[in-house]
Amino acid sequence: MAGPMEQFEIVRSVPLSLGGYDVSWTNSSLWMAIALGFVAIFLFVGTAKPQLIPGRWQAAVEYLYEFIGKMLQENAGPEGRRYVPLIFSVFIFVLACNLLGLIPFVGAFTPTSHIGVTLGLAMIVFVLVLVVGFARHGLHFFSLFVPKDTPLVLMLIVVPIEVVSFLSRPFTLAIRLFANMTAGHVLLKVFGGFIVALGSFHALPYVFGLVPLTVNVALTALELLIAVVQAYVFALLASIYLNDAINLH
Amino acid sequence: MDLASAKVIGAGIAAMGAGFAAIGVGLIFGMFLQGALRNPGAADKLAGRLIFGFAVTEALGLIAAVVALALAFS
Repeated sequence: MAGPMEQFEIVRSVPLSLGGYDVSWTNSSLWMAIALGFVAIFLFVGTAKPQLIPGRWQAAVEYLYEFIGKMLQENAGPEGRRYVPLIFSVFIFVLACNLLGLIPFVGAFTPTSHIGVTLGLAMIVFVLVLVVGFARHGLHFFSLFVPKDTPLVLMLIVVPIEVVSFLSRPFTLAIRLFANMTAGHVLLKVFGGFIVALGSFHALPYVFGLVPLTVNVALTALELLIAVVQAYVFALLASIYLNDAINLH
Repeated sequence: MDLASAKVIGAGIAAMGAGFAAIGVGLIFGMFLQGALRNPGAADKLAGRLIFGFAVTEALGLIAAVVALALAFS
């Protein structure tokens, strides 16, 4: 009897090795490639024959793009628009990975339910923030950790706290996304187990399984919402961190 | 007490963190509803911040849940 955690197992389809490192093609790689395929089809077909008055598909692509553009402009100032390509890529990749994991029957795997994937994405954002911060302000970037007009005595306490809170950003970004995906999918599988358990009542089969089935339908709707919200929050936090780097307070 | 029982008990204790996070999430939505009742015109503009606040608070509860799951199923 499979447990709820088996859906997160990495299965190597094509074992490959590169200089001692395991670079096999796994189910995680497959689903990330499928996410890439969906995103590519969505974007390319949407903008294949652009018209001044957009059709539905083009309008959807434009809406998503402008959504990220407006978010960056609001949170990172007018210069934030320059980072739309990167933040948009991260956002739509996370969105596609989150959503694809919810497809039933095809043995879907959520790449973003692994801390390796989410930490990689969070590191992209964090390194971007550092590079942008140091490139723009040089060593003055460290003034980010010193709130304005702090007396020297208080600075000794506040600065280490600020530094630690800054360094924990990639980890909270990664853990937030991975924990949401993992917990949600585990919950779906646990209630799936309840459906089978309650439905296999010999005297009256299937009927009692309807109750956890209803809960599972509601949970799937919730998981769809959370998939979208977590992608949005990832991108929003990336914009806010970029604002710290660009505008230093 | 052997390791296996200690793990399961620890999982139960860790899962209590989800309850505390539930209080936090309820607070966020409650404050939003209160503010929306006072100033309905500004409610739509704040919806983005609502979702963001919810997600950040929920993350902490889910961290507790993941710790519980990791202990229970390892």
